[in-house]
Amino acid sequence: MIGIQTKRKESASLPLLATGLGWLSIGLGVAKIAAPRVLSSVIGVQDTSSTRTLLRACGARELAVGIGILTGPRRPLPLWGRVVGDAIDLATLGIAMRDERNGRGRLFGSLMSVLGVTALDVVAAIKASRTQESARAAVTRAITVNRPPSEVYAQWRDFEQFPRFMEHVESVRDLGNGLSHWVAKLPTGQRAEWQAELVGDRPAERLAWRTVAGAQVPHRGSVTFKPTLDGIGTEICVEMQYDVPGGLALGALFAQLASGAQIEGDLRRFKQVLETGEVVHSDASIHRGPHPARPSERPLAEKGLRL
Amino acid sequence: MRASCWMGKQDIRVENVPDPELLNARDAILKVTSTTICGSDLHLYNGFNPTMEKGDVLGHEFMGEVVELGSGVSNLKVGDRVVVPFPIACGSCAQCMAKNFSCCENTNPNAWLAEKMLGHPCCGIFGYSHLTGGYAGGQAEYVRVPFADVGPLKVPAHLTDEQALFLSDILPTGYMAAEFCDITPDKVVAVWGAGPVGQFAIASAKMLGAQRIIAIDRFPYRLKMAIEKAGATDVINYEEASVLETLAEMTGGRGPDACIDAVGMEAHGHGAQYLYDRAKQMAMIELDRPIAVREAIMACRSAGIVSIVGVYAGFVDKFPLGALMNRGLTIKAGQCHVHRYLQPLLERIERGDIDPSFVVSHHMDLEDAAKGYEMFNSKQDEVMKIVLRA
Repeated sequence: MIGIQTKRKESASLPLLATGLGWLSIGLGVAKIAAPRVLSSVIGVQDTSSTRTLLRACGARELAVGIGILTGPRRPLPLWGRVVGDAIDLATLGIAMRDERNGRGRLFGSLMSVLGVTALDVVAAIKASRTQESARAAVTRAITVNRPPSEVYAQWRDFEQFPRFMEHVESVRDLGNGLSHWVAKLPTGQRAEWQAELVGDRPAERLAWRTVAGAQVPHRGSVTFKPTLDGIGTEICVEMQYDVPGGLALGALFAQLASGAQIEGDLRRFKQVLETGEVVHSDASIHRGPHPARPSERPLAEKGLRL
Repeated sequence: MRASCWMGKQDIRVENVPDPELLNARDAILKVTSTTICGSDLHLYNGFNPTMEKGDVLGHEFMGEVVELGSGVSNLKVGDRVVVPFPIACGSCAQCMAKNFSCCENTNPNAWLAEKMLGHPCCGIFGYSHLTGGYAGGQAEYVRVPFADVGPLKVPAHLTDEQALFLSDILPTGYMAAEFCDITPDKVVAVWGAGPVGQFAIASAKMLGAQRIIAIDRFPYRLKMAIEKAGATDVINYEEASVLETLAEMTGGRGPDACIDAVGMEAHGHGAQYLYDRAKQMAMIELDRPIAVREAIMACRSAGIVSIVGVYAGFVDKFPLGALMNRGLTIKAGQCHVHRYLQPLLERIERGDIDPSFVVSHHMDLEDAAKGYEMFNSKQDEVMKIVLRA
């Protein structure tokens, strides 16, 4: 039910270029590890035990980066890894040039080759980073409520009631004309405010909304209400999409997992409100975080904290 | 108030804790008059449930007097004497409407956790870990009862606490185990475990018309009660005889038509297999020791029924799935849907079909709860069921 969607505006050449660079890394890595003596003569450095150790370490780095690129040719991180490796190689070659015992002609050739590859690496890494900028997390969650779609829809359409069951939402004001103003406390403790507009409203069937321009975390969502086969209840399916700022795939994944659990809990509480009239509390659940299952000194204050 | 608290493995302390308050409109607060220690509390006592928190108030079998009611409860009034089902059920979700009360979809605030461990969440249960919601239990002077308009049953004044108390769990649990067995007079029923639930499973099988009921345990005093009080016709002490061989002899080689597991995750046994299970359980590689249920499956007649009411928490090893599949067995299991059985079983008690107080072996003060747990766990003094007075 969860999947990461990426809007791609990439150039067609990126996968080919990245795969080529990946295999180059693997090839150089194998050569540096398996045949450091041959390689040092090709590069133009003296074959000593410290050179061999250095070459083998570089080989290990090349292999790691190569594997990283080949397993995900569209990911920017391993490609930037190559760029960093290039910088290390250039610096090392520069130092080697100062030593008169090394073959300077060959070293110069090596330096030029590495510079050429560096240019290609930078191009590939930038292309991959641009592609990832519009990474988007999508979450889908479903629950069944033992009430007819018309009633479930009506409860959902009453946005101002959201804080009753949405854990992090502090208030929602219905501004009319499909516009609403939201205040929420983020898991990080910060407060976020945004405005949302309805973009779809089919009574007893579907609602869709999206944040208006200027929201810190732009997102859009939809909820569909489908009668269960027995005709008694409603299958609710919520889909949320977040445009994650910064464009890091990792951030998108994190936001997705966090919000998936959040939506699940919110849906369970929404079901409780519809089926039982309110959110159900246990002695432990009124507290944030772990708490023993025993009455507390100020339970209602705790409850106020929570809701 | 005073309450029996879980402070760690085999560490129960009666402590001062705040009095409960109403948290939901459909809550009631009870002044507990009688409560008991359940065999399933011993699983918590012995540390086999990974979702306990230090300080949890225990107890899911209790009865008492209503002292406070939320605005949403209209069927009870202050002063009513009630017995409370151990599963907390909302009464309005699809599962409650289908009378599967222990599968209630709304009463477990830790549904996400239960879903991870069980695939889908189970209901909330009083004083029974955080997997079942983190509700304070009833081994206390007072207890908050959510959905008091759905669960509690008013107890007629002419019944004693001992006669009504076990409606909270073990009598309906034993009854449901027997009901699972589709009993007709020609059926042979075997019951693993002659503890309180096993005794009530035997008594219920008899009430439902079984003519041959075989009790299996290792304590002679429990087997004696099974014959003399519950109505078993035969007994097997598994420390003296092979259960499978004896059952085969007793049933003309067919095996019992229905086998009830009233033992659960801390089964005892012998031999290498038992030691293997104990070691794995201690290492938490396997949460349950499925010795009784394995044996019940192997013993059961082909196309027979295996009824599981002993409590299991997670995953088991060496489960005889081949026997189950190739011999067409049916497994029925569940935490008891207590609400279903309250009224019919109350009527049976009033009619005198059964007097559940026969299992009571000890009375103690709530203050002595720790001693009660220790005694029950080590089966001292022919203990069967301990009633605690709050």
